Amino acid sequence: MLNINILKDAGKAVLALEGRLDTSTAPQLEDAINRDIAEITDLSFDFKNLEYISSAGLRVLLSTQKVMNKQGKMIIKNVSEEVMEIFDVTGFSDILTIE
Amino acid sequence: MGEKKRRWGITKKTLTGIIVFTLLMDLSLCISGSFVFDKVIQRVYNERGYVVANIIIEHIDHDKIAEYTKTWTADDYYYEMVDYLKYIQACSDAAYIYIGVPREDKTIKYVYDSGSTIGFEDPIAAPFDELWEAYTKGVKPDSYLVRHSQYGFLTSSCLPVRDSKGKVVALLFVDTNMEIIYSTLHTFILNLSIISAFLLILCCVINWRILRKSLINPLLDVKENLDYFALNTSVEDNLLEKVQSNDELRDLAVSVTAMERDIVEYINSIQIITSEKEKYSAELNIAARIQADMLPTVFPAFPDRHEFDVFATMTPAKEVGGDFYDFFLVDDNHIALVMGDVSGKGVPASLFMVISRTLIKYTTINGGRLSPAKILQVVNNQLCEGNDSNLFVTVWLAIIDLTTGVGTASNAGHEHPAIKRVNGKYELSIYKHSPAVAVMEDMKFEEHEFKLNPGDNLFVYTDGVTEATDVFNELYGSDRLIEALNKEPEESNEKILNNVKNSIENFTKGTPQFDDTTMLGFTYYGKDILGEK
Repeated sequence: MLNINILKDAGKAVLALEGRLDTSTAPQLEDAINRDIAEITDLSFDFKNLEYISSAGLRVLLSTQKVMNKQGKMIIKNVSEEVMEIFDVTGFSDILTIE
Repeated sequence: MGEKKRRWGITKKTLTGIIVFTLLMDLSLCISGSFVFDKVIQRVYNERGYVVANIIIEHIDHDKIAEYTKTWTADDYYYEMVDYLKYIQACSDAAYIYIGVPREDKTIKYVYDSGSTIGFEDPIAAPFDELWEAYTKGVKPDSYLVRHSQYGFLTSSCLPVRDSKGKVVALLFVDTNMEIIYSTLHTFILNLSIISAFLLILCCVINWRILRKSLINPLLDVKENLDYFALNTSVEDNLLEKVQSNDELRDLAVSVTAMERDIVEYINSIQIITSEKEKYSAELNIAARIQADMLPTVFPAFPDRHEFDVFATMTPAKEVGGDFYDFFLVDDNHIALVMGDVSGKGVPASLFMVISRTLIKYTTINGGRLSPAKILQVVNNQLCEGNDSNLFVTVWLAIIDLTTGVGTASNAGHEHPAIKRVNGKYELSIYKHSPAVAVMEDMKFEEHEFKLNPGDNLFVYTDGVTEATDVFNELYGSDRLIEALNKEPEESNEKILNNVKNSIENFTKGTPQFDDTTMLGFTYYGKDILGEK
C-alpha cells in the first residue's frame, strides 16, 4: 500500500509518500512522477510516513534524480532511520540529496 | 424425488389457475343468478295470487262475510260461495284459498277454508304483525308471507275484506305452494349451470390455447434454450425463430441470444488469452531455468581444492528474478566470490542480471588482474551504456588469495556481509558502501582488504533474506539472520545455509515472498591443512 500526496505550485512540487515503496507500488509512484515531471524544476519528497523502500523504489528515485539533474533540483526530506539505513547500505545516500 | 414431485411447473400452475377460476366463476354465477331469479319468481307467483284474490274480492258479498264473522253459521249463499271459491282454486295454481279473522292470541278463525268448516281455528304461521296490521289498518302486507307450516312451504297473497261501511271484517288469503316456485327455480339453475359451464369451459380452452401459444410455449422455449446453453455452452440459433411474437417475450429471446453469444465470445477469448498466457508462462519458465543454470549449482564445486569450501543457493520468489551469485577461480591461487541483486523484477531484471554476471566474470578473469573496485568501475561504465530504464545492480565482489587468506572486497550498495572468525560467532561486517553499479557513469568504487585465518567463515546474501516479510509485513531483519547463522555455527556451509532457509520459512509461515532469496557461504581452511580432508 502506498499513498501519494502531491502538492504543486508552478514549477515546484512536493510528493509526500505514505506506506511501502516496493515492487508492487513503485510503478504507481513512477506514473505519478512522469505525469508532470516535465514542468517541474524544484522537486521534493517527504518520506516522513514512508515505512520501507525496496530496490524497485530506489530505481524510481534514481531515474527521477537523473531527470532532475538536467532540469532543476531534487531533495528528499524527513527520511526515517530504517529508510536511511537502506540508502546507506545501497550507497544511494551519496547520490541523492537528503535533508 | 420427493422434491421433484412437489415441484409445480408453469403449465400446471396456469392450468390449475384457469380451472379454479372457471369453477369459482360458474359457482358465483349460479348463486347470484338463482338469488335474483328466486326474488323475481316469488314476486311473479305472489302477484298472480293477488290477481286471483282481487277477482274473488270482486265476486263475493262482503256484507255476508261480515255477517258470517258474527254468526259463524253457514247458509245458502255460503255454499254458493264455497262452490265458487273451489272452482277458482281448481282453475288457478293456488294451493289454498281461505277467508279468516286474525285474533290477538295469534290464531285465525276461518270464515271459509277449503280444508275445514266454518268457525275452525288455527294458529297463524305467517308473520303475525303484518297480518294484524293488514286486518286493523286494511292495507295489503308488504312481504310475500313466505313460511313453512303444517300445510307446506307457502307464500300468501292477502287482501282485506271490507263491508259496505268500509270496515275490515276479514282477510282473504290465496296461498301458492313454494314447491312450484322451487321446481321452476331448480330447472332454471340447472339450465344456467349447464350453459354457463359450457361457455366458461369454452372460454377457458380458448384462453388456455392463447396463453400457451403466446406466453407459456415461448417461455418454455427460452428456458429450454438456456438449459441447453448451461449444459453445452454453445449458441442454439433457432430461439429467435421460435419466439416470433412482437412483445416483451421477443425482447427476452433477443437478450438471451445476445447474452449467450457474448458469453461464448468471452469464453473463447478467455481460452485464447489463457493459452497465450500458458505459452508465455512456459517460456518464462524456460528463461528462469536458463538463468538458474548459469549459476554454478554443482557442489562440491571444486572437489580437488581443499583450502576452502563454498556453498550457495538461490530461491526465486516467482518467475525470473534479478538475484545472482557466482564463484570462480581467477587463477590457481585466487578465487572470486560475487553476490548481486538487480533492482526490480521480471524479464528486465533477469536480462540485466545475465549481462551483469557475465561482465563481472569476464572482466575479473580477462581484465588483466584488476582489483574488485576497478572491475566494478569497468562493469559500471559498460552497464550504464544505454541503460534507459535506469536499472542498477548491487554487487559484493571479493577476490581472495588462497595461500595467504588475504582478500580484497568492494561493496557496491550491497547488504552487509557476515563474518565468523574461527571459534567465534557470525557477526555483520558493517562499513560504508559505494553506490550500486549502473547508477551513474564514471563512478569510482571503494574497496578494502581483509584477512581470513584458517577456519574463518564468510556469509553473503541478498536483501531477499533480510527483507522476507511475514503476514503482518514485518521484516525478517538482520538480527534473526545472525541468530539463525549462530544456531550451529560450526556446521558446514550447506547446513548453515539450510538453517537460515528454515528460519526464514518459519518466520514467513507461507506468506508469498516477492524477492529472491540468495545466500553464499565460504570457509577458508588455508594451505596448511592441505590433504587433511
